[in-house]
Amino acid sequence: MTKKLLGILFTFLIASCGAGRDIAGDRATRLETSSGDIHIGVAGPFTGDLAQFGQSMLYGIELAVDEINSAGGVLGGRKIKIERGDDQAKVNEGTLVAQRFAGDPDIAVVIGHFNSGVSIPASAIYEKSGIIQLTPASTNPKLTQQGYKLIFRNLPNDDENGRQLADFAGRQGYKRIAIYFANNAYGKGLADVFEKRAKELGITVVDRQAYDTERDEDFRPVLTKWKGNSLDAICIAGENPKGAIIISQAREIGLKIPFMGGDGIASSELWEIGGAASEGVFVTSYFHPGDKRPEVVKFSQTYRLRFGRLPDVWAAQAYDAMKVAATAFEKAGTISPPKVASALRALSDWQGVTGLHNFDANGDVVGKKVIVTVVKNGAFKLYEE
Amino acid sequence: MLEQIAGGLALGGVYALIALGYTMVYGIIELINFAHGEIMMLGAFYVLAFSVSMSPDISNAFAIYTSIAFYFAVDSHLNKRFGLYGIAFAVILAFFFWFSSRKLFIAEITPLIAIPLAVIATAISGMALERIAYKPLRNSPRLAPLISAIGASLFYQNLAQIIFGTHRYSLPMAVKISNAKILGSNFALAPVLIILSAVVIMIALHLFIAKTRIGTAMRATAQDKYAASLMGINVNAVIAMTFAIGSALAAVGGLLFTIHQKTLWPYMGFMAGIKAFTAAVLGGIGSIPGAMLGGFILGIVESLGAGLFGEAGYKDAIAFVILIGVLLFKPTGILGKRSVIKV
Repeated sequence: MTKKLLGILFTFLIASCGAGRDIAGDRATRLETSSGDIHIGVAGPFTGDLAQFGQSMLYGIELAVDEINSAGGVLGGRKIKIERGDDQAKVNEGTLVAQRFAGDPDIAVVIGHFNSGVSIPASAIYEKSGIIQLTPASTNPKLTQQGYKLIFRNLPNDDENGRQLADFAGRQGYKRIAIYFANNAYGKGLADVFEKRAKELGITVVDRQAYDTERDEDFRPVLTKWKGNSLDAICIAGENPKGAIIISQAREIGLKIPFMGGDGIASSELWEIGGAASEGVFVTSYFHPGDKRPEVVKFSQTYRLRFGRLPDVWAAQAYDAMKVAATAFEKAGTISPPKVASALRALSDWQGVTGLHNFDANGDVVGKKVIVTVVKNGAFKLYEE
Repeated sequence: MLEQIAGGLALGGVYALIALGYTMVYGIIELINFAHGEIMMLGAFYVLAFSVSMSPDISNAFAIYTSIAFYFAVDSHLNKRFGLYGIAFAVILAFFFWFSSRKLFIAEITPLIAIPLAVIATAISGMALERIAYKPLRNSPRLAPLISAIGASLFYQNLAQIIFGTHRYSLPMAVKISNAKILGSNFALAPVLIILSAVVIMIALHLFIAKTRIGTAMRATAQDKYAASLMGINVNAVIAMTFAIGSALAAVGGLLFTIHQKTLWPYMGFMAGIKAFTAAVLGGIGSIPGAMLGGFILGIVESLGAGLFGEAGYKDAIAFVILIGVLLFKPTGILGKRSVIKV
């Protein structure tokens, strides 16, 4: 009996030793004094349905890293080195990627993930292991409202996106709208905010339907039903390629009303899949390559020369995320995550290709504008109302 | 309501075309060819590979696969010496992919060439599948080829992922057809095209089996393989031919499926295959008119189910509840006949 009790006591002792170890502190101390290459994790969907978004992120980061390294690196000549983690836009793969990065003592910053549903569970792992997570894409408000110190995003969240989208619908004079949303954290969050704001503006949300991001392929039954509802517009709260497929199928069955959507459908798949069907679709964004600001012109040109296509918003977002992280390293004078986090919060009006960056206490970006773009001749153009 | 039914007819046409492959194979060797959905997926990818320039890696890998499939397809069944010609043809095919990947051909090859090439290449894949996965097991217990079929299905899914990656592709031909209108600006071409081509192909197949010598040989083989071989029918060749025809139809099915669903991807065959199998069982497996009927019924039920019940999420459940119902109350399907025990 005594032996047994002792055994249990011993187990507790060991367990409490493990829990008491300050993993985040260990990483901070280690990285404070480290030298040599700076390792940055890049996480996103590089294979699977959402691979095009992941590819854009990678291109943007590749360009930023090459510019930083060829200009002599950061912190007196230290080069940046990228390590990829493919989350396939799936929660379980995303947490595996986060655990892999957490197990690597050299990683200071992770840029990613793409999907809110993946970013939120992964953020707990990054926070506990003392890694900065800077997502260029996840917009669900919950991500930065968990009381964490090391989690950042460099784009407006869905409270802002959904509100802007509904305001836009109001300005366009739409009175009856239906919402088609993806059954994930991003889609549901955006749909809720949009619906709430639309109701405030006196817009009737006639119907809202969810689709399964993995299983649903045929959206005609729902779209056909909506054909008889005399709608003014349909709002898509989801990601491409499914968003593009919905629009294409709607045009095929003769549904001619305008489509509008959040940043999840801001990718070239709209016209690659939909062709002419995608003309006139309204999409919220933070970037369009036709912007006349000198840094955007330069970025768009180098990107096009290198990758043979114009940058989309996700390439620009990832490019800015990498650049703003490098700026924070310089400001902090070290890559120790807590100090880099303070440096990020202390930034004032840092100018990127997607606009101004100021981070608040939660890690949300403040002051960045949501713009409305429209698909015209197979490209996003700024919509002038 | 009418519009929902019209939408369901197009989906049903695609299911029916794929279901024909299941039903033909079952009719002849009493095997459920679970890899048939993957053959459909390969067909769609062949149309893509023949009609647009793809990256050299993808083209080369696909050409190598095609060469191997061709070797197995022609080597065994038709004529030993023909194997050499097969290899020659495969080399030409490989060069074709290689050149097209390097844009030496015109950027976009006309569908009139791309589709027949894809149909032939898919038929070859079907024959190779039969040679490798089913022929060695022809005299084994019925469970063995069934397991082999599931294995082949997984193999093809993974092969396609290795060659093409896991993301979705869009087919320029399908994008154009999707946006085309007829009779003014209100009537879409795509569903009409899908239903018409499905019906025409099914009638042609029915006539082929009812009227031609090969069709007669097929029916004889279906009745009794041993007796058929005594009558001078080359049973192996007939079975290979069945797989070739079924797979050729699957290639057309794959193209129509891509037009209908707008994209193609390595997993597309899985769910479509299961739905088509449901359609085949619903109509009576082994019966060709049954496969057509089953496909159309399933398409309409799915479309109505999602449209009328308000919740689109139930449409798969409705389809499978029907399958279970049919299996419980009329296991032979709507047009199926109770099989006569051969003596």
